[in-house]
Amino acid sequence: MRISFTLNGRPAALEAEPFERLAPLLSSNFDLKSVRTACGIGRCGACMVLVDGKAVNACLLIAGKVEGAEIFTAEGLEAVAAPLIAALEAHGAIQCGYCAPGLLVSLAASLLAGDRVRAEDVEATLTGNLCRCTGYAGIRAAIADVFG
Amino acid sequence: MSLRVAEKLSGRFRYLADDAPKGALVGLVLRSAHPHARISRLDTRAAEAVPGVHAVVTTADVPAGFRFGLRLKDQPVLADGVVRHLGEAVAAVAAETMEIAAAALAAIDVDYEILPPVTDPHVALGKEAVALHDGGNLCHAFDYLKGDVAVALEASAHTVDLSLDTPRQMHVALELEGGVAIPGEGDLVLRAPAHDPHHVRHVLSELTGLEEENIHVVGSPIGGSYGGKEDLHVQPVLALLGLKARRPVRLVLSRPEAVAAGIKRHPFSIRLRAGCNADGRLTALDFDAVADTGAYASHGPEVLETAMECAPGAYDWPSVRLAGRLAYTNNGISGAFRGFGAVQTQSALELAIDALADKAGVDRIAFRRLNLAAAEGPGPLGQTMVPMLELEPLGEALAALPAVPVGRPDERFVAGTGVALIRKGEGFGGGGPNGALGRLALGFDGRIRLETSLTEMGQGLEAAALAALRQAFGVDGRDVGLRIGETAVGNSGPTSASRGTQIAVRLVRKGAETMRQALGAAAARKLGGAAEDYISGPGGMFRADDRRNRPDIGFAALAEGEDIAVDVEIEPIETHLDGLACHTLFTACAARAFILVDRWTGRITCTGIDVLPACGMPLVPAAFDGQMAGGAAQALGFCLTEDLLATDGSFAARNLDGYFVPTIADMPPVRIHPLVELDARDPVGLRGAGEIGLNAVAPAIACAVRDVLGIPPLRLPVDPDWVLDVLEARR
Repeated sequence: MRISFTLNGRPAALEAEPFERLAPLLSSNFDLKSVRTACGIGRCGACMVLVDGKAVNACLLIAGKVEGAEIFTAEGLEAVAAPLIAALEAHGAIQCGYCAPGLLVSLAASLLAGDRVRAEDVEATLTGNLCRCTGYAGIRAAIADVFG
Repeated sequence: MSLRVAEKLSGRFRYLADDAPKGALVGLVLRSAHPHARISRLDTRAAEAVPGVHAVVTTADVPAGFRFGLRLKDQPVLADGVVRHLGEAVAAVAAETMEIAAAALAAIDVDYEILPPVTDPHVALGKEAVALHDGGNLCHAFDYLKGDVAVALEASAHTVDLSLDTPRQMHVALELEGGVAIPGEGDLVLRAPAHDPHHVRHVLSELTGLEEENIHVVGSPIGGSYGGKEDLHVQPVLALLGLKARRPVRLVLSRPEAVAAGIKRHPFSIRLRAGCNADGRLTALDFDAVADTGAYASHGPEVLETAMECAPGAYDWPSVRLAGRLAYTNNGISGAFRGFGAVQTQSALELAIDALADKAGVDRIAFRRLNLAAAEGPGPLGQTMVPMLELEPLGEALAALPAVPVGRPDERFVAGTGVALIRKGEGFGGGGPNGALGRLALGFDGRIRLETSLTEMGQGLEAAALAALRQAFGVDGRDVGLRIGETAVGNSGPTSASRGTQIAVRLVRKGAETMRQALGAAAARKLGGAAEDYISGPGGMFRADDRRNRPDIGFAALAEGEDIAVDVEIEPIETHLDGLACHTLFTACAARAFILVDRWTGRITCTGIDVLPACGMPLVPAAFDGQMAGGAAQALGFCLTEDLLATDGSFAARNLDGYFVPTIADMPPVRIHPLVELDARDPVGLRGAGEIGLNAVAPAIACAVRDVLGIPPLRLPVDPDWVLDVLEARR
């Protein structure tokens, strides 16, 4: 079936079975390398995308659920997340970077949620984003900068 | 800290398997569903006949008897009549789509004659065990003896007996093993994460018959490794598929494939007896370890050697007996993992040190300081070594750390503290590939660049090398560059054993003076005068006596028509002892960990970690701190949450469910207190930061557990049920 949605602010559509997983569809149809299937079972967070403002694991989301949705991938969040990117860079929060787009999506969800978000709440939203390199120390410092 | 952070966050950054040439085929691997079996029939004809399949490869496509490995070569590219672990590659296909490749895999006909798996390393080493390799199941042995340990222990005022089993920790790099093969007319390009592109090329040359100069390997950047991508992973199968199909092939493992077939940390089973005098002086150490390398050696022999060399710790023992055995089993494959065998033996030893200190009635830090090994050496195996004056200052710093509130001990939670003081060899033991070639060159883009085959895997090698270049030439970031991680540049040896960043920085520093002269000479040729009239600075070359705020010639103009380059070689500093591979260069580190034990659930939370690394002055402090915090997280997993349990050769987890990598919620604050002064005579001037934090933090957490429970954990990670049993028994 044909599934239509907006992707990074522009109208988009793809042909897929309704039960196909969104992550490989986004990466292959739109060459969005940020959507990475690194476990495929929603544990690592490397495939996260924003769907109607919520960070979700695209490896678990089925295509049929995104008809009419507003989807952002990390590629489309660079401008709005500029303060986050600057803070993460300043604190050496990124090493190999493979988890970084999923992390950015999770953090952007908090950023877009408004002023009331506290740093400890933001940290709690990141338990679904595994980072194997950094021990999260720089990420924490960046959160304190942006949300503290 | 890494470069190109914005690109990485926004997904614009490209890893090696992200892109393939148009028309690239999809590779898939058929893997054994049995941990130990004989292949009685393997028929690929139906798979080859599937439309859209361009290559099917089996061991018939590999030179007879071909084996590869990092040192000991015992691993077939594709199963050669026998499978020795679950998930072992049996055959592979390259097809036009994933669906066709999957259909082709399903069409491969394999008959297995199932054999009983050898799963207990102790049993594997017994006389009755089925031999998994021609030479039997003893992959490697390590023995060292100094003095009469039995007599010394008998005469000791206090002795402790301790046993510790350590986990099969999984690396869980977020980037899965994968790559792209691009065959040409008589040549091959292979892009896949690698620690040592030249080694990969050498193996591929032997496998394919192509001359090394006709193979180009790109191994950087890497989306996380921690040692897990040090072995060749997809490269041999990719090369076979690409050359047979005569088309580019992309092959990326799935997480279940990586869990089943990827490299893991060696589980160790340790038993030791240690003694001290009434005044707290150590007397003797009797240390036995059996490690499980699984089906193939990988880095196992070197892991065992490092483990045993680090077993005596940072201490002076009048008598020592060390006996290590590395067994082949059918439990996957174990190999290199940050900490490299040493973290296993150091955890056991530091637990024993605390137990002896308590028996002797001496403060645990004071006990360590009383027994520190001499700064001038000899090393732990009696070898000569580069003097290290860092141990005593670290002991002093450990004692001087401020007390930190440990949370709120109450009826539910009980708090504990652990410390550790360790040293670990850097680079490889005697005879390993410790040397390095590199090159400094001025490019036509006006950048002074370092060329090295060392690779970037997030550890910050690029940032440190660029900082070293800026320092060495007094220039800006826009004046420096890198060409790294590929076989087109000189062989700098493996990016492992904490040596990569250290070597990259030393290549810059060693070549800098000659390069400055070459730059001066080029300026003199272009502007007149003598080479020493010019010095490098931001943007280009300046007259030394008349330094204006703009260069007299920019670097790009200087490079025109010139070939300004300097080859650099670093020769290894090595000690050789008869029959023992041992290190000459050591790095020291101390750590302190705070934990809370939940009396209701037996679960342990780490509430704070201090790391005191003695690595010299960090070039890029954020990158250095990141190595310490990252190592601390993996140490926490090693002690508290991570183990890939194996039953009958099958792992308990098939993906990341059931295997618990620490999340942000599991990580306490990590405070880093670097010791920046190394001995003035130190010939290296800095130490790698990659492993040492992990090596110190794991024993500190283990010791904190003992601090709370009064007895050392018998196995890591600590099982909450065991904690509850201990708490119950104490009541």
